Amino acid sequence: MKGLSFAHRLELFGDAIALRLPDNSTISYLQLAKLADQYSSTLNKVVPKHSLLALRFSSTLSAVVAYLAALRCGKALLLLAPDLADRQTLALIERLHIAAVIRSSGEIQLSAYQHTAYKQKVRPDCALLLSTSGSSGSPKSVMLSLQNIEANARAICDYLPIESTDTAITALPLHYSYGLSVLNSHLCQGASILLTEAPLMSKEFWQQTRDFNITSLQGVPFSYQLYRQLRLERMPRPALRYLTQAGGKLNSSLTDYVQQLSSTLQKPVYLMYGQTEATARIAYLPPKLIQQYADCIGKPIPGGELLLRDPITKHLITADFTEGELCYRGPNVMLGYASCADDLTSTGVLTELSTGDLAERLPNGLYRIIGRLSRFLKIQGKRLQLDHLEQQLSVLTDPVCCTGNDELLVVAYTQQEPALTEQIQQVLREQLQLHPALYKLLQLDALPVLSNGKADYQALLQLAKESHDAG
Amino acid sequence: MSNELIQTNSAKLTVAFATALVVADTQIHDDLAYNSIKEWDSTAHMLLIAELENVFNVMLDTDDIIDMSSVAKAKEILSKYGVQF
Repeated sequence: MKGLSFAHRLELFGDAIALRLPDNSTISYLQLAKLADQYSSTLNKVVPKHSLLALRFSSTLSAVVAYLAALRCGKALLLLAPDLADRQTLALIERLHIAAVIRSSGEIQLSAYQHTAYKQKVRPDCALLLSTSGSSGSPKSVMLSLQNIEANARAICDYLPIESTDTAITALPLHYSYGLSVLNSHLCQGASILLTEAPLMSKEFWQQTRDFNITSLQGVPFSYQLYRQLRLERMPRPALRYLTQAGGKLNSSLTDYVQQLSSTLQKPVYLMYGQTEATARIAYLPPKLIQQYADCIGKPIPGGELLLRDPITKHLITADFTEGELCYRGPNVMLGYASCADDLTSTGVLTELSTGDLAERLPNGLYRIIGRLSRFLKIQGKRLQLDHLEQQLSVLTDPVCCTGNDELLVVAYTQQEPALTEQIQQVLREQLQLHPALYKLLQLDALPVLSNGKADYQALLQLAKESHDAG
Repeated sequence: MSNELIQTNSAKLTVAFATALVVADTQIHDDLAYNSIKEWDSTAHMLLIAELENVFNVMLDTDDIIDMSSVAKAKEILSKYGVQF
């Protein structure tokens, strides 16, 4: 078969429809390949070889063309949220020496690094860079190869019932690994996807799911909260065949809802687990197990392998019901992280990914997450590195402690300064897009500490819960 | 329905919007539309619906939830449920 990835094989699907647009126009695979090649020749002319590009990845035709063009002509591309603030974009440009930023319209804006970029040698196997934390503009990006992207798209096509006659919808942003995996897997299968920018909570979006006979819906836990509020189970959508969920564990009430939804609609719901570090998907729960095993992440995707290791000794754990760090091996494991321009020229290849999640294996082979080793939260599907946030906030106030769970971020500080609350709120709102209902600010006389002098995050969480319940 | 009650409903609506969107009461006017300000995003919309259902003790239909594209539209929809403005 010709080509290194689905992006190189677009032509094979000929006149089949690849992209649908809200105005009812369609783009065939052949047309998409041509558009991508035209754009590639522009990129080749304008952008220095071996340099890094960034794309404001909106769910629009021009952005998708730019993405596929970069994959086809081998330009390393960092995916950005379409609305990433200029300040955060600039910080990334400086940190990674990005030569040019492609706007959603396809317009190429060369940066101050366009000249130094001639000297830059981004590792040739690095095709794509994704932020580890959605839109927060985290300095840490994940480097993915073409093989990573291709392997994960194929694995997804293996376990999800994607058919060439399907039409997906951009229910999730494309710069986010889960949203991107929907585009990739549908293009890999010769299916089509409707590119919509209509928000999940809009009339337009739901009209489109009906008018375009959308065959699947995706969602992070927050999306399922919306689906519940919209009473999705009562919406007639005969074309809808299945649903998928990823981007964090569902709480118990949402788990109940998803089980009900699946049985009311008589349609399978795939609960999935993954990380951007593994391109997107790592594991999934076969939908027939959803009523009984919704608390499990299930089994590894085709071609992947899950294992448990002792968090300290790193020894393999083989016994059932024994807690260990969940590790993953597979062709979709990233090349490595890039936090600065030098990292882009690294040569190492990661073979095993430590997920930072604590899990156990059931005798039937299913894996269940029971905790988390590293300090991050996943709020609305977006990963929030707590240590990184503490650093960010320490500019405003010091000491400051961040903890919480996937539903509530807790920020505690001691300084008594009336304007401080507003300043912290501003950071959380503008940089992390967090609604005040998703966090709790605590002004304390002293921050609780453990006997070893380290912050007592458990005590903080308890305090926050008490004050949250009270007020 | 008395004018007083209508005024109360307007005030309740304004408070509900201001709470869900986390903006000042003074920013809430009939023309304010979904996605026209960054504060009114999907999260805020979800909280807004919960707030309105709670404050006016109604259960909104799916079509009405996704149709609530502005403050004026919210009033129009709520009046179908017997809330007068």
